[in-house]
Amino acid sequence: MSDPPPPSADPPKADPLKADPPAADAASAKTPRADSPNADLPKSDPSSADPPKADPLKADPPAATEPTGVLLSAEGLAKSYRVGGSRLEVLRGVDFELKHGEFVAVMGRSGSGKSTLLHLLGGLDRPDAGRIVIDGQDLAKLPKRALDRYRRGRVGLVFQQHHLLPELSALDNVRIAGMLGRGGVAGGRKVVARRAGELLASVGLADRAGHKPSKLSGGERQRVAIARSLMNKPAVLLADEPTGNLDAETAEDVMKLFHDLHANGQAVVMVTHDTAIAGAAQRTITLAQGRLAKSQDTQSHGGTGLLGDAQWTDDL
Amino acid sequence: MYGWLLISTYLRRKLAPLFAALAVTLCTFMVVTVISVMSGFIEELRRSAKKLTGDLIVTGLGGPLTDYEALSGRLVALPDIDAATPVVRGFGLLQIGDFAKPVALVGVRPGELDRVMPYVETLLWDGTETPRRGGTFPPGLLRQAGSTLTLPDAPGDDDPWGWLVEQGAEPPPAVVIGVEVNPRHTRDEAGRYDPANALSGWGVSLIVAPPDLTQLGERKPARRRVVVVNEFKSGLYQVDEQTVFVPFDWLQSAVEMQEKNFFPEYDELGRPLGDPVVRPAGASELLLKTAPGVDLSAAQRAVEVVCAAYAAEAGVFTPRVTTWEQQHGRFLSAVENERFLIVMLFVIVSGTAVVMVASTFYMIVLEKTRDIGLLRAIGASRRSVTGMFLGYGLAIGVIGAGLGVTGAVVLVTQLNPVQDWIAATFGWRMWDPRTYFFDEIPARINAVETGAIAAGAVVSSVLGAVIPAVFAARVDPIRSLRYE
Repeated sequence: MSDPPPPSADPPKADPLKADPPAADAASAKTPRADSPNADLPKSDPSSADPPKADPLKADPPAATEPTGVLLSAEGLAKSYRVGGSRLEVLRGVDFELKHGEFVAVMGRSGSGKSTLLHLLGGLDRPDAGRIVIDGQDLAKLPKRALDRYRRGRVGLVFQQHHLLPELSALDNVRIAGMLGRGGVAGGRKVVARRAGELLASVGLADRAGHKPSKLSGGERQRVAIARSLMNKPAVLLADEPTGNLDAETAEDVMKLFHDLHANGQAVVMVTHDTAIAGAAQRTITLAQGRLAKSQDTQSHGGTGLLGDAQWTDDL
Repeated sequence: MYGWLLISTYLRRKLAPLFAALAVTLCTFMVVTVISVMSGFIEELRRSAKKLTGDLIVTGLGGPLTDYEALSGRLVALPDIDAATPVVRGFGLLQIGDFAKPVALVGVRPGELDRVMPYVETLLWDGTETPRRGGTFPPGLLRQAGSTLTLPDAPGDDDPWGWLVEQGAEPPPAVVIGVEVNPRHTRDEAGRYDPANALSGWGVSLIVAPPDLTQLGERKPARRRVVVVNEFKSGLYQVDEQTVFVPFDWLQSAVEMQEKNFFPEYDELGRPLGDPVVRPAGASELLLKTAPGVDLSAAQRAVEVVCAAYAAEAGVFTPRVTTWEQQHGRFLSAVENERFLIVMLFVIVSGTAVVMVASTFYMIVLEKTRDIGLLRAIGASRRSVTGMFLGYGLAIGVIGAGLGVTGAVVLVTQLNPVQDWIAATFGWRMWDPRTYFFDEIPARINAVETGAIAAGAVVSSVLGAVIPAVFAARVDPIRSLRYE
């Protein structure tokens, strides 16, 4: 992130995430209840005082506890690119499965194919071979428009850089994801605007809704990007090193946000280099030279990943 | 839906699209103004051309129209025809002192003529404003004299024609000359003629060259003293600089078209052979006025039928029937062609607006590749991205065309005051009435043309956005986000 944080300093004091219990116990995190970790999130949003409103961070379908049922599966994924005169094989037959409500970290060295895997899962690219099945449909066979609709409604994307539109306010940056067409959040303009406001409030930025990205700190921008990714209630959140450009303290805040999302039943696939960050996930897969090298359950899942020690179990 | 959010944001925050809108504005403004001035010019020309021409003109072929009174009666009986009058045409030389000028003579019956065309409206002088040697004419005298082509008796001792009448055995013919026939006239900066230079009340010499029916050269040009009783201005320079209205009967005699006995054959020594025969009086043309609301082409066809029957009965060539537009066709079509060429040139110049919009949008696409990639990544379809840029072009086109049309309408409706202000402030007049014959810039806003130009500007703007929009839709989200 090239823009220096403004003097308003990150994290904001009014961040509702700060209201979370500082260290949620492992049991409650492993079996997150739909209403517990974020029960007080809407308090930061004045508009969310209305009793019947749902927590905008909650995933749709309702929060899962232990991962149950396969949400997304990939079999034999292969992808190569032509670089100069030669062909570079990035993925060579990767199998992957994501259950509802599961939090999976994808690790590996640079060039191991982590981001490529994420792009394939996100429908940004098509595999050369293999298939990705979600909702009973093979992404590789979806026509372009259906793939656009998939990206619009079924996945939320968070990048290492925030990729916010600089001319738009934080609120409009979130809102725009709900305005891209069919497949997004149901409802008219007012519904979209209200949800965008609620999401911003949920990530602790209700008071920064009218600010342009240039007036936000790096962490705030990334939180706006996360709110944007949640706009259409995605089935799975795909994050590509979302804390890669942040300092440790800000990264901690962002990871707390992911943790809360997961606790509310949101399925998350996060690419990271950082083993500590990966500790926040329930499971970590490691790619090496385009192949799945390891798949491990994280025993100590429940922290942010930055603070707790992770223990790994080799599945392979 | 998101497209308009971005379009409105970009329009407010980016300078480049405003330059593109400015280009569209200028092009629209330019084309509307030029077309309005050219349209006004042509409309003025057509009005002037029609002023002294019948709606339909029946011209004798192979000789004068004989029995024109009967033909006129049959034509007026048609429901499409309101009035008719015969005219005789001839050529002469007008001599004013040492100055001589070839003129086209039109022999008319003023009373009838005014029922066919607004002849009296074209008369310039009333009598109050025209000084005459030794005094002024009584008010209305010149208009009356011009409208009747007669020398009226002036009240009292101030008989303006007396000195001329006394010189000849009979009163000289009264004539009305085109204002530009008078070599003394010049126009001031406002396009006005100085009444002091009018020839009204002046006696001038008119030399008429009659056709030599015997082809033996026995007819000599006739020289007559005539009195200019008024001057007319139709507004069409080609008419006003050579036409002289003279009394019908006088010119008919002068060009040997009156009823006359003649010998059809001559021997080699030029002596007539056989008994003389009566040649009926003839006229060069019949000028017709159509009934209000009548389709000119339909009236023309009806008149042609009557003329064909007339020709068959009289054993003459079928007269030619033309409309006033056909009569001035060569001149008017030349000006129409000029207008078309000028408009085309400006349309081509306006093509720069398309290029301007295209280059502006292309720059925006290059600048916004990451944003477009992001939008594509989070689910914006190619079609919606294309639509957004086309909508952007549409917005710029609508804004630019709206401003351009507004500016052009304001300028065109205030063109003459603006010109007067420029002339008064900077001493430069772009439309000089001395050059263009019309006193004012004859601009006319045509709603249909203006609407078409505005629509064309909007379409051009959208077209300019097409290629950048296609480029934008092809942006690869992965590549654009990865290499940011």
